[in-house]
Amino acid sequence: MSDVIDLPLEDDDRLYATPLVDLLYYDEERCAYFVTFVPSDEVSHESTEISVVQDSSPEFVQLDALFGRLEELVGSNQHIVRVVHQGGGNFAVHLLGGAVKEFMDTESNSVGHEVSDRLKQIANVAEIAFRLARCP
Amino acid sequence: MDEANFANAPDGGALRTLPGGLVIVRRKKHEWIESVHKMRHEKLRVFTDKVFGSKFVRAWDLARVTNWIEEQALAVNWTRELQEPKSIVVRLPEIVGVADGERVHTIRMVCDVRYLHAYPVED
Repeated sequence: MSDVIDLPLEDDDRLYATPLVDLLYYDEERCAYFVTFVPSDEVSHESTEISVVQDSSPEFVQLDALFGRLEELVGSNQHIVRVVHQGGGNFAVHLLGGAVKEFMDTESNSVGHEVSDRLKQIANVAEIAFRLARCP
Repeated sequence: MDEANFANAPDGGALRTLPGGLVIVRRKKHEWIESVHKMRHEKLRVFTDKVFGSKFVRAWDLARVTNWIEEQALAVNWTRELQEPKSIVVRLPEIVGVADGERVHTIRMVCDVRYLHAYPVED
């Protein structure tokens, strides 16, 4: 089986610059968002970092609003259990009940674009929280 | 989930729940795909960078990676009771994957206090 992959090799062609969400969920017991993210090179040379955003932190309100909007966009009246990065600009959204919705960077519909935008914003907030935690 | 059914798990789906409550999840972006063999260096570098994800070699299939993660998590006593995220880096005598276009011997295992996964990193 052949699996042809069209890769943008020029930085300007890449729509999915770091930071990127790698694995995202809300932990009800700990009242915090756990955001594993692919960091910008200037922040970390690791492949992933983890930001824990407690409900007492200033970034929590932003993340909570973005996560809420994601749930609206994904629809089906189901809570999001976790969001997982699939590489590039692709994401899998796992819903309560077991359904999984995939969003690809090649999608032309407005919902797909907004999902990508919101995840990008979440990654930005997570990276800021990570930087503040390291250098308060 | 039975090892025979790992391939049916969705990307990000649970592969195994450990006795301490942590869940090993599937991460397709780090799995071997046949076309990696055919890529020239620059394309391979991009396709195995941190945006597209480093790739395990074929010998490190889902079952092996899952069993390895379980062994390591038990060895360092990680459970759902962890107070903060953890990661470990383990260098092995064999080539385990490709990261940033280079063959590597090292695996990083990450736990965010609920989910576990692992991926090859530069030596």
